[in-house]
Amino acid sequence: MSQENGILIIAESTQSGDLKPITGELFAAASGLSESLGEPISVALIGQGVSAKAQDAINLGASKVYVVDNSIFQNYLNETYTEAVISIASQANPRIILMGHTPNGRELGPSVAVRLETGIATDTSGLSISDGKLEATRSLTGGLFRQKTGFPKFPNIATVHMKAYDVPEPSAGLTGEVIEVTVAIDANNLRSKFVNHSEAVSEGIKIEDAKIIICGGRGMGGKEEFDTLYDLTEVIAESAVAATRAAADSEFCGQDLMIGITGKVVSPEVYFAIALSGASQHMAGCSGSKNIIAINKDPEANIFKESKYGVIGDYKDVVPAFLDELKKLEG
Amino acid sequence: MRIIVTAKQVPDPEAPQSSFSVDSATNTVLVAGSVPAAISDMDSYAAEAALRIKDEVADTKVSVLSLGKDHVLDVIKRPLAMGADELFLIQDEDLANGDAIAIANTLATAIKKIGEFDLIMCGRQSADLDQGIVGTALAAILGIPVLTNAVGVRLNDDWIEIDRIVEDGIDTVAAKLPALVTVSNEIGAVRYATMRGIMAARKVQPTIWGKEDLGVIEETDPFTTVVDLFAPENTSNVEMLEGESAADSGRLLAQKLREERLI
Repeated sequence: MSQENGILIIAESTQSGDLKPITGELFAAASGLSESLGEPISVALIGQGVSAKAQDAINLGASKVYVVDNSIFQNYLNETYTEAVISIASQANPRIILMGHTPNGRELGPSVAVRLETGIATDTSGLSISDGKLEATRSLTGGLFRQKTGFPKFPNIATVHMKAYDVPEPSAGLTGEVIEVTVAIDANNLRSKFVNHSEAVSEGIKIEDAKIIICGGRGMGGKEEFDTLYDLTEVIAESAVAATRAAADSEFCGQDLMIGITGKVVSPEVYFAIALSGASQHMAGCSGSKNIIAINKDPEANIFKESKYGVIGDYKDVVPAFLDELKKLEG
Repeated sequence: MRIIVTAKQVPDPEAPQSSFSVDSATNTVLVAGSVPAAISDMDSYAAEAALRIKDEVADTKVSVLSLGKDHVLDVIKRPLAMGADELFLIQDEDLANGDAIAIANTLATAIKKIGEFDLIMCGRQSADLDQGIVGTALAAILGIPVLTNAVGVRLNDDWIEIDRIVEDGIDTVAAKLPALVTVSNEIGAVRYATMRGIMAARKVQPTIWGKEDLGVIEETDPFTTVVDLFAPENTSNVEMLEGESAADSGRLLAQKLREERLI
């Protein structure tokens, strides 16, 4: 049995086959590891119509691209993608396997780990090598503390926190090996199935893409009050409204606006935190923001420790005056 | 139909942050004695999802399984008070302290002892560790299909169908029973325990198992290790804007953000 070698990245692609940004982020995470180990990076490209994008993976830094391209894999399904990764891993024999901590990656990781009889850490960042093995950091206790995790067994498997790394600039025309992998799977004998996909109906800018986010918490008080946040989006360009889990669970808005440890992870230029305490479960979703602006009537609120600018006061008094002033400064 | 719901008892995450600290010597989280025990909230949503099926399907038994080292009966019986039928507790410190995959192995061993099931429902991730590993790993160990982070759950004959949030919308996926589903808070409100439910739950005797009852669990090397546990440095550098009134502060904020070209 030859020695494990290299870092295998499990790529994610859009319906049209383009590599999703998370794949680039994984390359950023892997490149430091590759340097420390002196071992190459390879990519698993699974889907339908993905072979055409193998060069994109090579241009990000893959020496080898393992391609599983078949209609069976058109849509992600744990049952089929686990088999694909296992088939690829048995050929690649990687030291480390990285996936994004995305809705699919976080589900795929543990299935692969069990099959490969190894351990896994999820939602990690700060990846490094120690004594030929991966070390990775993750949050616990609702985001309050950090744990650096070690991996005694090979391959070391980790899912990587979204937006923990920046997508690197791809090079052009690099060379690499493309290896087609056949997966022994009987499409007629699956015990699960993909039924359908429905697009999110989002009015305006998607939260994950917004340059500025206006997030309301439970302190907004109610649905009508929460809706006043939309007034801000009319004056602040490139902004979107979001919510804490407490606000969403209280039905001030839809669950799709939720940011936090079980919601969306964002890293906008500006994050308005309005009438929210800044509990660590929420901060886990927005701590990547470049500038956090807090408005809260509780001077002890944790959010003030996390912000760039803060105003102590009832948002009902602060925000209308803030808005009026913005309009004045505009005109 | 039999549904097994896994539930983890955790220190109440709503407790003040100051109740939690790190013991650097042992790399563990210390919890103040004043912090009450609670069921990890996603597990309550899993119980709720199971009970909604029980509401619809005659002859459904909901069995709750919990691995822990210091179960508080009133707390861990909550799903019974909500309407679940029986409770299995595995009580062992070493097993409870295991890494996620080790825990999944323990639960799998217990489930084989419990017997036949149609569906297993788990919270998508625990309130104290948020790893989201155990449910999926458990399915892989048992060799059954898994569907995770369900925001909607529907039973169609012998298939279970769920909706799950993906980056650009919702995927609907389904699995043939027996299967495992992990459940998220978006399924909607967890039912209250009724007075009658609480009284009934008091009378239920949980089945309690220790390490020996589960049979030999192979001691292997740990799947992951804790190299370090720490509180991140707080680099608080906030500039507070204070006017003569809240409204005045709001105006100052607008001016500042414009000055800094942030908006």
